[in-house]
Amino acid sequence: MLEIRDLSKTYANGVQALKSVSLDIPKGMFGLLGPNGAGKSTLMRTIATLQDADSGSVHLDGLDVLVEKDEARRRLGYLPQEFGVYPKVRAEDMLDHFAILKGVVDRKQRKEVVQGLLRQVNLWDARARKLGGFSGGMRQRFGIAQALIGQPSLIIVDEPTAGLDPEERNRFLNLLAEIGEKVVVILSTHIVEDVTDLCPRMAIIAGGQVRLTGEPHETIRSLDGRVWRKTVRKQELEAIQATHVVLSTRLVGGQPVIHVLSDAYPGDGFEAVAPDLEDVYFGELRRQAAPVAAAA
Amino acid sequence: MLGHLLRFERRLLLGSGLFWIVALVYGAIGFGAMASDNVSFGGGVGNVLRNAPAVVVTLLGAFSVISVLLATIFVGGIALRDFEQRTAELFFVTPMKKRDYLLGRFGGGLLAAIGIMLMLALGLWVGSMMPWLDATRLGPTPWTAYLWSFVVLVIPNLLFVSALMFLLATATRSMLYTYLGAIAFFVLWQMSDFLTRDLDSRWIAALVDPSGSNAIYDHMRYWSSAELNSRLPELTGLLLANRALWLGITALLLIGAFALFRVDREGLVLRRRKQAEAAAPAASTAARVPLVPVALRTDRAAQWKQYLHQAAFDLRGAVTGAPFIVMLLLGLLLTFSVLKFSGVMYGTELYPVTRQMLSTLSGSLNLFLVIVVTFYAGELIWRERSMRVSEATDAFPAPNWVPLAGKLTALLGLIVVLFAAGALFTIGYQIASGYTTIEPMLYVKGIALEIVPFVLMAVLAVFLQVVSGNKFVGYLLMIVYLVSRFAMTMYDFDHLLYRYGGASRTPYSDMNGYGHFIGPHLWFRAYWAAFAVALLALAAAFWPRGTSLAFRDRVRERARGCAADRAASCWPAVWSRSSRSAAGSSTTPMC
Repeated sequence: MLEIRDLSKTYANGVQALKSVSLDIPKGMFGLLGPNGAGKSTLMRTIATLQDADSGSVHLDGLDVLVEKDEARRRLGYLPQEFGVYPKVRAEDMLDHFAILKGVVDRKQRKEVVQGLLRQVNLWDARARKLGGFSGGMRQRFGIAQALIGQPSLIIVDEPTAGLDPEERNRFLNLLAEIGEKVVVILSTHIVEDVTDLCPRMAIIAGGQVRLTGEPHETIRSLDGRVWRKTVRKQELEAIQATHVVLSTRLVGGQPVIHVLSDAYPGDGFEAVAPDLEDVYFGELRRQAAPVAAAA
Repeated sequence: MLGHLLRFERRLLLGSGLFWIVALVYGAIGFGAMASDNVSFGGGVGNVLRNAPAVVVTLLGAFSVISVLLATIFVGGIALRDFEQRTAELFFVTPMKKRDYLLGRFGGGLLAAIGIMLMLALGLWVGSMMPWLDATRLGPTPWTAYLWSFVVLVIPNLLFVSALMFLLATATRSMLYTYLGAIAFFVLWQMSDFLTRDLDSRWIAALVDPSGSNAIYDHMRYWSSAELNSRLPELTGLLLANRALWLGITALLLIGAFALFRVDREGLVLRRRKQAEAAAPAASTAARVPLVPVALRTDRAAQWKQYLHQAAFDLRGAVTGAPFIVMLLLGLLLTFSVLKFSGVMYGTELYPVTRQMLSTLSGSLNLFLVIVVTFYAGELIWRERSMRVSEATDAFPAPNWVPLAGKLTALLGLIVVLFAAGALFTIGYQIASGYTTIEPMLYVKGIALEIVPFVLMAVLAVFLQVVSGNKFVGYLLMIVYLVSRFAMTMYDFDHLLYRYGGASRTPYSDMNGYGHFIGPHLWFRAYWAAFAVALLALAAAFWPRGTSLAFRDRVRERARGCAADRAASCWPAVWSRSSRSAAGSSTTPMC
């Protein structure tokens, strides 16, 4: 159980990345959804002891993560957003290096750990290859192997699926689902499907604030009967945006198809659709933008 | 189009901090060279005026040579900028001509180099106006000599080195190889200078010297003071031939750069490695593997193992890298040529005794050791960060001293490897010359003594890298340190108690060894080693960990560490804060 209380952070350039963030994260996969620049990475790095918050606290099963950093690091597995590797080092050797630094100093034990992890992330056949020749997906799987050294009780993965092709993405998410049963796994992402597919619990973060927490299915249910779809002409778009809460606009065969949020039937041509997490997500983001629009 | 590109370069340059810093440093060097009363460069002694035309020519010629390495930064940097910033493709899809693009980038780098040399000339001129200089030792400002030097020496020399760097940069598309090429050129040139010095046919030395200094010297060799004060060398004979030769080579280099430049490939690939294009394992579900439970250890014994492993890991990475191997080979090459020539000094053949081997070895390796220590301090300290591995490793439970000590040890390992390879080489040379009294113990002792100053320098370089929080600022600080050391010597600030790493000399005699010199020498070394330990403690205290490199955050982190019952291990922070509050106190912890 990870408890985050009133975490705030303002960078030297004045950007307030976190505004009094509080979250309770139980065991299992937890999805942290938010647009680029929402403060996800700041939150992840703060929990990973890489960065200090201005105020607030983070407790992992009673351990004060921000103060007792060394103890927290022993329980932590972290896959950073931009995880690099030494291109000329073999996968096996690099993982061995990481294992020592993490504290697996016994040679025999380390060998078992490294072999087990390479098998688990399906890189056993590539163990003797140099990391420079790895594809993006293999590199991410190597990254998760590194994060799993020493059975961490808290695993943080920051935007792991960005830039992966669909097959690699599936493979990676399956891997996460396997490990996410017994420990706290925080998956930060801006890809809505990642959360829908994997996470029993989630939070939406935007502008440094937690906008919503809950179970994806429950939050989707709260929009039941309130999401409407219509195929419109491009010229109409602006007029509709002025009068309706437009959740999303996407092109289907070149024609804009919009989703709007409305408690009542919004008018002719609209048809009701079953909401999904993406509607929830955009709904939260629009709710945030709304006051600005009203002021303008 | 070309005009537009050049204006673009000029705007970037004038807004670049690096350009102004380097320009100011060069201006200061020029000023110091002219305005300093107790040193004089360029031969302005005796009846020759301090600012005689011949002195100006010699000075500007000599400095246009030294600017090779610094100008490399700009020419190489500009040539590679579009590839490093990933803007290259943006430019290459425009209808801009290749010629314009290349000339624009080349011109930008050249203008930067010329601008810096102009600052140096300005420094010289301002220096000659200083009121403390003896007015009778100064003539009227020799404007024609300045102009002549720029036209005949400075600009052609800069053109040549810029073309060479541009060719290297466009062909290799690697800053590292460009730097290495520059260093290799510098060394080969110094060697050719050294090798041609004793030749009877001076014209060869005058021709092969790309800077033209030898040719100028040849012209002015027999001039009287009056001539030195009034005349300029004529652009005839050897000087003309030298200039024509090197301008011709410059043109060839530029044509080469133009021919080798391709927009559609990743630079010049000398040897294509066969890539085993094995398909990624296709199983789409992860294998269920029972993982053995392990306990993560953070005790002293575990930390010690982590330290040893970190040192070995980094040392292996550095030793097998191209830069180190190139440095090593160049060092051995220089050692060999010095051995070849020092063996027959004054027409008498010398025995290749071990004492002689050792002094040749340390003399030849000196430059490379300085380069290796400076360069690898930055490379190793920032290795994790530049490879973007640090976010993962910084979240590991290993303490800060492990990477610091590991990387310093790896750096020391590089020094040892250089010396050991050099010693094996000279032993081979001794045997090849039929000399078999090898004296292995003397090798061990001699090298141990020679290594110490570089160990101290390595500590300083690591310290500067850590506190500066930026690889290039760290390099710059190290260069400032090396230059200021040189400057201090010239101004007679040479007391060993305030020259970092200084120690009295240890002349070796085959009759009574190091004799009574060794005691004081070791005391000096111990004194500076104690200081180095303090530097290391500070570096450990401010070891960069986590996302923020801001010094404020690192001090805060340290302050919290103190509060958490670890005051003993963080005395430097306490010291630095107390010394800041004690106004005017400028004591350092060790002396």
